[in-house]
Amino acid sequence: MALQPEIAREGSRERAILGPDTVNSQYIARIDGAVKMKTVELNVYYGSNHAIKNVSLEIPEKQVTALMGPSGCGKSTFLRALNRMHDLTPGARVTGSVLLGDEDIYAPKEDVVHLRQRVGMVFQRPNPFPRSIFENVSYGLRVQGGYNASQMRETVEQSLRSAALWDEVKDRLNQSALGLSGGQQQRLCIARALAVSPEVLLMDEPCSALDPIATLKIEELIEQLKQQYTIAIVTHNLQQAARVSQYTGFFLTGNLIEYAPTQQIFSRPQDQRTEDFITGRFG
Amino acid sequence: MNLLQIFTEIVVPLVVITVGGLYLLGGPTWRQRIRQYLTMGYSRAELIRMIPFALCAVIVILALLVVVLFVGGNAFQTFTRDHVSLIAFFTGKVWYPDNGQVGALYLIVGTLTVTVLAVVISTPISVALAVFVTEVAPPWARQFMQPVLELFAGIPSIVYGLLGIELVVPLVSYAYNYLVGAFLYAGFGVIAAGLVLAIMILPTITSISIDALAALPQGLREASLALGATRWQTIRRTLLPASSSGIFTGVILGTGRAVGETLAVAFLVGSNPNNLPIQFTNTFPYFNLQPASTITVQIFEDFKEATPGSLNFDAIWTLSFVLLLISFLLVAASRYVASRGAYKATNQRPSGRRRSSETGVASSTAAAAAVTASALPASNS
Amino acid sequence: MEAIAKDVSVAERRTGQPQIDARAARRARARLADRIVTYTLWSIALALTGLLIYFIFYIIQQGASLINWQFVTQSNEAGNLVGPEVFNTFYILILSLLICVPLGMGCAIYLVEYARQGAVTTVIRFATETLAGVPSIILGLFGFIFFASSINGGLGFGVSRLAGALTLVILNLPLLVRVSEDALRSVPDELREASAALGANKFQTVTRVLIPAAIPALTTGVILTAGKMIGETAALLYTTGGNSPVTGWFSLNPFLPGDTLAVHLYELRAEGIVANAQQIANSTATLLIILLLVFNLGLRYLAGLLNRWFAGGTSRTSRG
Repeated sequence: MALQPEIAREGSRERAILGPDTVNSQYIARIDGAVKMKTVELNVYYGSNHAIKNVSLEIPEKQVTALMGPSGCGKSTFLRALNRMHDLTPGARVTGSVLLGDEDIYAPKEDVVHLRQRVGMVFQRPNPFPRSIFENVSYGLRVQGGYNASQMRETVEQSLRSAALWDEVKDRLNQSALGLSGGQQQRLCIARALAVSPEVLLMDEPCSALDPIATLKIEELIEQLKQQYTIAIVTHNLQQAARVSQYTGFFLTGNLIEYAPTQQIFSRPQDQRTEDFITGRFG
Repeated sequence: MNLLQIFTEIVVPLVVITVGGLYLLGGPTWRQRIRQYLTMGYSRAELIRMIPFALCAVIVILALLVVVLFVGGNAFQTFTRDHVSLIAFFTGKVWYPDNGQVGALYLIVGTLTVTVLAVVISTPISVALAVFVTEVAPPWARQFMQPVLELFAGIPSIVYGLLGIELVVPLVSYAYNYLVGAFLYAGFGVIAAGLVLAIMILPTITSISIDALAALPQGLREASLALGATRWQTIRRTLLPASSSGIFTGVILGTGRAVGETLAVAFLVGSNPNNLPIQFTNTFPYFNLQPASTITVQIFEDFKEATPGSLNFDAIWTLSFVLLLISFLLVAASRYVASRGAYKATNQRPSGRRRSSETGVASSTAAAAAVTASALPASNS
Repeated sequence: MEAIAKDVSVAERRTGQPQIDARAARRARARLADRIVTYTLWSIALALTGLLIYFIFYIIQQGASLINWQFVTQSNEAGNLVGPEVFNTFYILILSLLICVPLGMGCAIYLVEYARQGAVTTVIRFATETLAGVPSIILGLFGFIFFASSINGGLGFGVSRLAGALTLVILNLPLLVRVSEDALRSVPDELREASAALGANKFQTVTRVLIPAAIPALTTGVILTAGKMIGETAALLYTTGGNSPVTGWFSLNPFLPGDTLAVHLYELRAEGIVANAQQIANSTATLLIILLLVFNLGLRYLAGLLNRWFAGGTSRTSRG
């Protein structure tokens, strides 16, 4: 379904239709296959700083999408717009729309709490709660309410297994999560996000605070998780993007420069700036 | 032999002899160690120039020592010279020093009642206010609350006493008499004192709680919200538990203020040392409020008339020493609790980057220290 | 997750309606709770602000009628003018600040700049924190026995302004140490390094760079401390005495007795020695509140201006 002037089928959002001639977006970042999330003319401002400029891209379902670029290019800002984390930042303003399935998450009636249950997030630095491992993973369920103890135990175990952490922590579920190593903490945070069964998992440089071995484990984990979840991962690490993702977007100063299947973007980048970045000429 | 003598004649010589002996006889290792400890590796010239500053530090330590020694030095004459037994002092119910009776039980009960009332009323409001300032308030409201807290802390306790007499005492009187249906109670007592104290300790608990909440990493908030928690769920399930040790520290220091407060309480509590503050009865409403007294109030009232050498005078110093011990215990408890927190509101050496200033809460600054009236336990970072 | 899917169907059978609705209802409840709490927090903050404003207006409105220039500068036999008290308040305040600020600053410099973390700093911190926890009434008694009286090895200054000022020093020393520490820590390390790199020794760095750079931050703390000193009563009642001489009070003699406004307020309410004691007490309270407002809001604002003015000063110092 590449490059069709469509979107009309998504109801009344004609205004969202972009032509290829729109400034800043050489690429209507389309994909082949099922679309899980999609941004349309997304702009993010911090006060007067225009951090994301008219970005429109599609995130494929049950695949890994990597967003890369030099620091300060807006890739994390973009990611945080996908589950409305900017609501927390004073002075941040978002225009355009982000579609999850076919609903606009920035619509006035949108339930942000529900949205964040559907679109989970893993942060740059592991941020476990200063409580037990069990309480960390079951946090989302407790917050939702309506789960009994055995359901919680079951979900905690499944989530920890999915995050490849179960074997390491099954004997100390009641110990503080702060006692885990950095890599384990990050996997715990992934397990915590998985426990609420999100549809999409956003990962904001999840390995930047970790050592190479822990990084490798997380990458293997991402590989497995994409069977069930749609994943968008921000990384400044080119090799990581190449290893884990199926689609890659390249951001520069708030613009989406290029968005294509990962193999293509690394072997035949269309844009000179992408090529410069990949070959290490800047960034 | 009093504490002062014990200190000057036993403790000081002992320390001097031990350190001196080790230096002279302990061989080069000890000599090296002691010298290293005393000079901290500074050169002789630097050490000489540092004397004025070290002197100031010594004076601070001496100030505490002298206070403890002088209060403690006078505290035991009730027992040694006036031959009041320890048990009689702490369990006696009659405080009538001119008649030779110094039973402090009701005073202690009074202090406890007033303090518990104040803390129980103040803590939820203070924590709510701290949560408001750190989590809910937009920046302008935050900046507005800062001077509000400072002014609450800055109103002199004697003025609080006047406000209490004119505004709170009639209220308490009215409420109780309305309940009973007859005019039985003028309003002076622990309820009025506790209410006013609650307002007085509010800035202490609030500003320390603000520091504790502001010291939490932003990641905790984000993690919780990203899991689909509402702001209130985030506050209740993550932020308050994570900052509980800091908040508890604030509560303890607030307790210390309440225990030590004198003038406001003296105006409001009724100053009758021989009454229980609240007496339970068999008829509706099953309790009598009556004018009572507290440790601080009795020290304050009696010192006017006491002549040195009398039982009255000695008993006041004993009470003071009890109060001093309570405040030491509270400070120690606050230190202990503060040291157990997972996230500490420390002021770290690398300056210019303070967490609280990053989150926009103007606290852990000089201003907050002044609001809290007592130095926060600054953990050694 | 399958387990959940299974439970959903169980719940559906039990409740007769889709579990998905129950989820939505729970979310709605959570949102409602969130909103209620938000409103509650706002109203608590508003109520407290209102209470403060009410207190201040109440006090001012009660006592404003009597306040005039003569009231605050003169004294008379009848004792219904507070000139001596105003003078004593500032006299004692300045005297104790003159002793307290250098002491606190010196101690803070030792703590922040010289002492290695260890037993010594622990002892000093313990001392300041513990001293900060001592109730002011006890310090009042201590001040009486140590500074005013000469029994039991006291210094024998008599019940006087000096004894009162020294008692205030002990009372506020911990706070000033803390405030000075914060001020010193707010000086960026680059200044220290820059000064050291220019060949200054530690003492020169401290006296020529750090103290000037810390002064703006210190000013705020000193002003707040001063505000507290003005309102202090319990520590002063037995050290400066409850009354002033009617004549000759306008003197710098530190050994004169002299009550401050706050102490005078207590005397008026407790002893009621003067004919219209109640009215004078109200006006004295008004004066205290006005001083509080001046110190906490007015002088703080000026200190803020000073801060900005000094901001240029620090960078000049770093180059010098």
